Amino acid sequence: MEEFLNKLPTSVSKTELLRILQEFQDKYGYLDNDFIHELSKKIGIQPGKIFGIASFYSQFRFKPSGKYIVNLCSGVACHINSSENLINVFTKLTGLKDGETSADGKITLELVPCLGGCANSPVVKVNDKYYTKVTKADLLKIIQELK
Amino acid sequence: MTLKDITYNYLFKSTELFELNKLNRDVNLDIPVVFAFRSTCSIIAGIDDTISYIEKYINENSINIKIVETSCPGLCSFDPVIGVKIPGRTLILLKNLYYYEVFSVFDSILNHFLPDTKFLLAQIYDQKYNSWPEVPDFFSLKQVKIQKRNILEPIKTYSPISITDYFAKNGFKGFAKVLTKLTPSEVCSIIENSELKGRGGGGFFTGKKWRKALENNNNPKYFICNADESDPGSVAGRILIETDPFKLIEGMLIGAYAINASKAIIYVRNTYKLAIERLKKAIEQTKSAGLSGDDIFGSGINLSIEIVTGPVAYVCGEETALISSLEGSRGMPKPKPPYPSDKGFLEKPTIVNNVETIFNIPSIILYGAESFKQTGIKESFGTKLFTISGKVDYPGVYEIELGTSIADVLSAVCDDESVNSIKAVHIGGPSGGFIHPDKFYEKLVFNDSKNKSNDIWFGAGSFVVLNKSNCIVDVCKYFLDFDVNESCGKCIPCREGTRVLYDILKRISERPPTNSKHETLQRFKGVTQLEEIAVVMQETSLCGLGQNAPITIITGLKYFRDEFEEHIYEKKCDAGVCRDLKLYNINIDNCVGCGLCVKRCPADAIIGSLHTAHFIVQERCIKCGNCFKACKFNAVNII
Repeated sequence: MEEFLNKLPTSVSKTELLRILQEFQDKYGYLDNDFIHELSKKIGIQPGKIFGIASFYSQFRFKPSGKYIVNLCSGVACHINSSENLINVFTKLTGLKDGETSADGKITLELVPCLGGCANSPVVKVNDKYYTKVTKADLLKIIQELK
Repeated sequence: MTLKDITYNYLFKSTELFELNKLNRDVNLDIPVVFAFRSTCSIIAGIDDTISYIEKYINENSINIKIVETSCPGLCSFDPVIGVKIPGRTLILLKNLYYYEVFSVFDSILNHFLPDTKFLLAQIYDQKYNSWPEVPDFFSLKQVKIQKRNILEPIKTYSPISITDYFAKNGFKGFAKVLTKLTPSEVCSIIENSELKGRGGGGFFTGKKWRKALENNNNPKYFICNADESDPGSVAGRILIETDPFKLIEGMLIGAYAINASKAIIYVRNTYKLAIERLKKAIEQTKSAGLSGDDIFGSGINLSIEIVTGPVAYVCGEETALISSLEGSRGMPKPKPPYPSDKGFLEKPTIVNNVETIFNIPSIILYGAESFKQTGIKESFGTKLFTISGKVDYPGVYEIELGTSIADVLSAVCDDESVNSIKAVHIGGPSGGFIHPDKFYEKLVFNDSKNKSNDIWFGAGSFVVLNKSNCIVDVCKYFLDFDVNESCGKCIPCREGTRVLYDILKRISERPPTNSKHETLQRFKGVTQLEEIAVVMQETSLCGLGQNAPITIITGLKYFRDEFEEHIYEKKCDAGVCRDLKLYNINIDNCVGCGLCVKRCPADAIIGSLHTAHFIVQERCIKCGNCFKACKFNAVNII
């Protein structure tokens, strides 16, 4: 983390803030509390302000994510092809709600507004692998594989 | 010759067509060529596996085949689409070619035999080559015929990330014309004359906006492309960028020139990985071709293009919110006026245009405003991209000429049987509304909020078809849930209004815990409140999100009032979607205790030992209906 902070130029304008946060998250997976404090000292914006800005956007995470990030698409095309059932089943089976990570650190559930595979809805994405036209039975299989 | 010299010769010296890279060079090769139509939707459908199997096939059989990666034709139901061109024959398009079918299909096609008919999509007729028997022409497909592809090509047989390939399609000629022959004011006039309207949902005249920014002398100015497309169900902007990143760049260069801006910024949604990747490559090539940077080809004009990736927030599609986000703050909208064209990014005059709007610019400049006005109808010229999804047989991204009726579109994207079962169409995503089948004769045109001619609101162009298995209340609830999550919270009508509307809908789509009079009254009062709140929100919200959020409810109540009433009075959802209205229980008399339902229940909600009557624990039941389907003795009842 120190390395990352040292690389930053000495004076950072506010327009660069989101880019820095994105870069940090790409590298470390989430925005660490200590990082936000250190960054705040460096660029002179209150930590609460940085947190407030970051929490506005759904991209930023404040807790480490699990090994597998499961994206259930809740876009409109998936919704009318009953993606809500999948979400319910997933939540019942793993006990995870949107944005939560399982206790063993394996699975993170993130609902996304649209993955863009509307023709093959409902779509589920696990890390970089896509599953299309997912049924409840498929979802059970996916979850078993992850466990 | 460097790329810069090639560009200079092509743009400013030779009057001939660009010969260096003839478009058909791949089609004319004397070895077989495989075209992989690769974009995000086909990646989801599995085209990457298909490509790697094709490579494997080539290696194993050691044949000389060229693979060209291009972008998809927008017909998502046929993904993955692979084009094969063998010498002497026309280009044939294969649909739904999954990796496990590659070997057998290629075995036959490379030996001039047609594969199984389930893979045959179409061929592109060309008199020079022998056509394949009994394969339809691509341009005779009804899904292609309904479209008028002006800003997208019908089918792209060259790389989207090669600037020289773009030259061969008259690329950057519009920008060259602007640089050498037109003043910024003249460029604005051409766009004003074309009556081009913003494609992002606002429908404001692009030319007028540019003129305002041009007349403001506060420098520097900024030209921003809004590629933060977050409407659920709309992927048009992404397809455009993936297919033709150079066209976006050319449009932006022209726009920046027209308002005397020296910096153009593309604000693109962070999740569009492939689009960003292609855009970055395209920007790099534009720079090395000398078309962006300082003093472009000695004209004294400096223009730089930069990509900013947006960290995903729906409200950032609103121009003032987008600007706030670029400035590094929470992406919240600001009251207008002042409009961004007066005071925008860093308090300087700024133009924010949608991707699709910018895509229209190069050809308007090159061929003139009048040629643009040949398509579409009065007050709605040109074409519009619609992302058609839902209960249709051929979903995809369709470029439709404005003025086409909804019925015509539907008959092209559905088979005949499914057209009749359509219950409604929802156009425009969270800021749009329902269209009833009685109104399908209506034409797709821009709708002015003051001069409302019909109920059609394009929004970002999502077009969702619903049939009998969808519940209108549920769809309303879905969009409001989305609005509740995405409302930035700045103004009260939107923040509280969406929440209250959602709560009312939630209440009527759930079974009341008791049958008390108070409960019934609350459910009943809901509908009258819905309309009241919707009107207040429309009139008092700060930005488009809050103003347009209630349109779904208003049109829903207008056309499908009976469905709302059914939920309230009869506590019934005909479509069977509102599960919480349902209650499953087991009739003890019929239950033989076979245990089948226990096995099928994903939530472990059914208890009871073998050969004794079972019982459903309501708290655990997720109302999936598996037990109802599984029971062979009609012991599971739905109340």
